[in-house]
Amino acid sequence: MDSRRDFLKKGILFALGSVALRNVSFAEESNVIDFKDYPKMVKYPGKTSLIMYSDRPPLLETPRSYFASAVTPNEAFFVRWHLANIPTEVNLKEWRLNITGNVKKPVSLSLDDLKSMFEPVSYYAVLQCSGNGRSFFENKQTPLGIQWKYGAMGNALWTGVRLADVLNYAGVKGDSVEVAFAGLDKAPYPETPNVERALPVDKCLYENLILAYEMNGEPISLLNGFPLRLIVPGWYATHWIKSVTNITVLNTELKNFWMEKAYHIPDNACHCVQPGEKPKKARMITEMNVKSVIGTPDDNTVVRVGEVVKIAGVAFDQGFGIKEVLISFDGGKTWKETGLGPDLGRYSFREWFYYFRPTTKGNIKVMVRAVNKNGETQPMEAGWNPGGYMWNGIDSVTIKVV
Amino acid sequence: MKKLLAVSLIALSVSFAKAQENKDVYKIDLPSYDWKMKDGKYKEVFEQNCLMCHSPGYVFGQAKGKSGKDMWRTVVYQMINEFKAPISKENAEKIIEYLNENYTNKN
Ligand code: HEC
Repeated sequence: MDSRRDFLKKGILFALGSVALRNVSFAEESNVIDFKDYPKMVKYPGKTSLIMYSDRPPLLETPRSYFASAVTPNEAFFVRWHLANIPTEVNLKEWRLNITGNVKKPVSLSLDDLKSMFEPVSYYAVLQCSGNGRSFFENKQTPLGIQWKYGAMGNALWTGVRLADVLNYAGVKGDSVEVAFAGLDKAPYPETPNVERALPVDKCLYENLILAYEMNGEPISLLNGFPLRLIVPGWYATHWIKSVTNITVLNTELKNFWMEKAYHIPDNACHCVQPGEKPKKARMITEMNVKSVIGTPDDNTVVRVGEVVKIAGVAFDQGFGIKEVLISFDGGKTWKETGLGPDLGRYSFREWFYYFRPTTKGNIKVMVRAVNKNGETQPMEAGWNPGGYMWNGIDSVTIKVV
Repeated sequence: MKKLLAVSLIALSVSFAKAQENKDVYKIDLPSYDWKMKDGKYKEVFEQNCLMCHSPGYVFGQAKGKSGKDMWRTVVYQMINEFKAPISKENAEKIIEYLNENYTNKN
């Protein structure tokens, strides 16, 4: 199989000749990674060039420039798995969603069953890794985990069926406490705990969670959780289980490494402790906080005096919705309002923009701060915590005026 | 050369037909990379013990910002205690030494 593919590639390359060769990524990309060129920009199947932190499991970050628009294209959407044996092949003839445990009638549904038996629903929602921005804690102390910058997040139109409809079809028993979700990914070493996570039963029955089979109008890619992904709008990605295949209704709390130890934040108002300290009390990470990212211009962009430059980006929160996005050119002394793009729903990215015309030469630091409809705003820097979670410090870029 | 192209076009159409037939099967081939670890004492102990579950990318990233006190000790014992990495105490200490020496940012 592999040799045939190599043979094919060579044949096509010969045929295309040397001019086209420049555009063929697999001929160009060196597969050696040195500490110096880490993290490296690479192309995965179905993806454009993304920032790669690991190939086993694949950990790919969206470049910052994509955050000039409210919807993140599927080919640029970030990829994050915990365990290296990720599903690389799924046969829909065999794949089933199993709902078992504390239910009146255990059920096993094909993807076609899900699509035909339940009403489809769609909404935009931001998917963000708990550790997005972790690297910005590094001047205090690097927390353990992947050193994501801006792009362990994205916004997509998710289409699927209501989790509540599917659970009610199986019939949740009255004494249920939690609902647990497991995907097709497995640990390479059998004794490593596999990822299984649970949510409170009332959240699953009475809120707006869906089991999505489409992302921006296409089947969700294998890298992003084909064929079915749990969508938990407003909450961090750790709860959005990929390639969901087993749902277990429980009458006790799920206990495992991923529930008891991973993804915990200090249980205080700032979710923070002194760098290097351990929290006295910790709890599971849940809702996101208010945040904005500058998508354009790039940092250190050169602009002439009098030239107009569009500054734009996205803002979002845990679901109250964005009230305003403010911009400062004087280090945060004064703030001006930016224009807001169309409202795509309270869980979506909200585009913001500002047309800036510099009048004097020099470096200008542009800072941006979002405020949500609950009156919450971004801090200058997020408080440090051992997991490096929930970074929402004010974003900035420098514009060089010449 | 023309022959090569003809053969590969036939092969291409065969695999295309197969894909059409089997529209229920979704498949992806993942690329893999050749990670260059810094040379140093006990590099081989690291390579024998730390590459089973994930790529060294996890280690590279950890070495950029300000390292906390005992960072690598915390990491290595987390691998053993939480993820059940089968690593002896003796090897764990050697790996910690290798990582402290080569992948720590003391600034
Ligand atoms: C038995 C499997 C296994 C082995 C062997 C293993 N690891 Fe890990 N490691 C993991 C898992 C699982 C994670 C969490 C992955 C994730 O969440 O993406 C992890 C995460 C990490 C991280 C990220 C920081 C953190 O604490 O989560 C680092 C650094 C790391 N490993 C280094 C090492 C080193 C050094 C060794 C050799 C001593 C090693 N690993 C051996 C399973 C393993």
